[in-house]
Amino acid sequence: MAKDSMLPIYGKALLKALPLGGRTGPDLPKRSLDRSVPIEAEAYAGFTSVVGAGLGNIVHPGYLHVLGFPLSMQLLSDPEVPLPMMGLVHVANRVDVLGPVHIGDSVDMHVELAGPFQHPSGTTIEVLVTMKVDGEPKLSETSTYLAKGKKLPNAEPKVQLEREDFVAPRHTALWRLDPIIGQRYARASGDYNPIHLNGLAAKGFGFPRLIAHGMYGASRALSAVDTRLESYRWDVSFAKPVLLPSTVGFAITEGQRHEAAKFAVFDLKSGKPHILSEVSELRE
Amino acid sequence: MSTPNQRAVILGGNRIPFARSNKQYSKASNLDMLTSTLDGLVARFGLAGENIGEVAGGAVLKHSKDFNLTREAVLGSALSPTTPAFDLGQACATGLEAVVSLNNKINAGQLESAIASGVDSTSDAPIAVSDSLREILLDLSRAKTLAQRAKIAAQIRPAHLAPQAPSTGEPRTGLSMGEHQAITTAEWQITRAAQDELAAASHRNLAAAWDEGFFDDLTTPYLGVSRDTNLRPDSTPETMAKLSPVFGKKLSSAATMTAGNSTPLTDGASSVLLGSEDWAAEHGYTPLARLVDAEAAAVDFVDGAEGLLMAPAYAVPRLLARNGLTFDDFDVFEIHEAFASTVLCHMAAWESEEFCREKAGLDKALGSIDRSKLNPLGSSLAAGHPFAATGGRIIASTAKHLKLTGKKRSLVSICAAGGQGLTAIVEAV
Repeated sequence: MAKDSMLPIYGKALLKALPLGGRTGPDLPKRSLDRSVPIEAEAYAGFTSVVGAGLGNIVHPGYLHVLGFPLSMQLLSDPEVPLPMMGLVHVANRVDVLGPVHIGDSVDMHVELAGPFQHPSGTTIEVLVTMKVDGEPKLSETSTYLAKGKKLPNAEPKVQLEREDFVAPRHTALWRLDPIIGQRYARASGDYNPIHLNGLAAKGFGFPRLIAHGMYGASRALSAVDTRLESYRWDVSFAKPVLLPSTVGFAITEGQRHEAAKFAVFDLKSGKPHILSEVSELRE
Repeated sequence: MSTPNQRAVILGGNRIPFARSNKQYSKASNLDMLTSTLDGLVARFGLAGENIGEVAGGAVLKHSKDFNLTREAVLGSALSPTTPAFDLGQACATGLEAVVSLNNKINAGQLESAIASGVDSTSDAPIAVSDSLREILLDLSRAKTLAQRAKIAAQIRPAHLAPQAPSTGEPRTGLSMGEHQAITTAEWQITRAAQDELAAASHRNLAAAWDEGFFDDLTTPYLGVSRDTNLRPDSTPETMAKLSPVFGKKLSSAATMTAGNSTPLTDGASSVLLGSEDWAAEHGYTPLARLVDAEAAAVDFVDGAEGLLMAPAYAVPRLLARNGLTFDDFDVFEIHEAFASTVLCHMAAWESEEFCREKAGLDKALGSIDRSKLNPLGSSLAAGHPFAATGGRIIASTAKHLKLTGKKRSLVSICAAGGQGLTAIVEAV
């Protein structure tokens, strides 16, 4: 485990979830965090083996998300953030890969928050992450978190991306997910959110069973598509969480492997989507 | 006198009868079965103490300790211990690839004699621990202090301990071979009745061949087994029709693939003796046939663009074109029955104007296969399919069949995991 443990942050977030009086104002604190992180082969290998990616020299953007995640959580758990972190749901993730990041690179990260924004079912906050290597921009990420049912008076209007109607295609792959996948991804990513590790905790947050990390499924789907584009946009929209254990379907719905493509992870019986994702070429 | 690249001839073969998984051969390892098979060949051809040019073989399900499986089998056999050997692998095409590569070495003048072999045990199978436990155990082995080891060992949970038996699942899709074939079967609209009929014919033909004594000089009894145990001579399309579907139940169309029209997991081993014409003459062996050419193909099945087991449909047109042959030039078609529907899909593809034009790059359909020429000795549905042993079974049988019947030419086709296929032409000498 090469990454910072997230346990203290979740502890803080749980405390904040308790009704101890409203010390928070309606605005986001104007703070940002910067940190430089070297990409180490051993820790990276722990990630690739879990998400089914080959261990090569170019770093999977899902791992870059993992590197930025502790800083994101540090910002979101700030007592001045007007929404409770433990109730935030990761609903969408957009990564613009501007160029390849390699093993051994030292990545300079800058993380800040944007929002709050209006959303039909609540309020969203965005975590904006940018990464540079030797001054060269390599990645820009927007992670959208939704506080369901929470409305803030000063939330800015925002056009939220409409989810396309989804008709489940015939699966081209089956993912047989055992309950340990939560632990494995937690170990690889440092995200020890108890809803992925403990059935009781998951029940406490309203899920019937353990649920898989959203970014696990997203990263594994990207591994399956195995894009060879130099720079690209990787969009992920999280629908229904994947319960553990379970067997889910995967298919590319448009385009093809190694290139621009739309792809999905979905429930085999109901055909409802778990994850809708797309890799597209970045337009200048 | 043969041309330099036509020196190699097929001289004979030996296999042990194939047995259903976890039955008579359940305690026999790949090494046990392969050694016994080689010894049977040695006995039949009087090769005890003989130095063979090279022995090649492999197994699909292989223990990591079996890194030198074929060489170990040679050392345990009556062959001269100075006989070199190598292992190879091409999933279910392993046995045929062993024949092809040794055949080519003889034609290239590198070898005078060779034994191609293959073996698989689905009973004595390697069991792997889960990826999670494997990662923890490897970390444990790298830990330096007791405290580090204790900390790592404490991560082990009961759920980690469930062993993972090998499956026929494709690593990139997680679908079993049957689940893949079910998709292709539905796409080509292969009926249940057609599959059951083909399966029944396989049993009927194999039973007849055993009854006629055809396999007497191609097999050696092993562990009390003297016939392929999967063989059901009384199988009919009607008895087949009673079985419940096992694959394709998640698809929207009706499931048609049953335990009867799909090959069962099987244990067994096979071997084929090859030599140059000169070597054969020196030893007084009568050549049965000659492998004149082979062609491999692969398809991109990962995104579902093509069916997992459809590669032979692409290899055969190329093989025929290179040799200036059509289906009419063949007397026998030995198409490995991974599933009845696999064979039927290949034949449907060759009959399809659309497939042959748009996918196989021909200007018209390749044509139909006369069903009376198809798998005349039965095939894997009846005999079973110990993966790497199937190529050797087919080559030895079809070579002898050509010799015995005076027929001229046989087309051999084997589909394999990973979207691959290997095909070959065997001709009478």
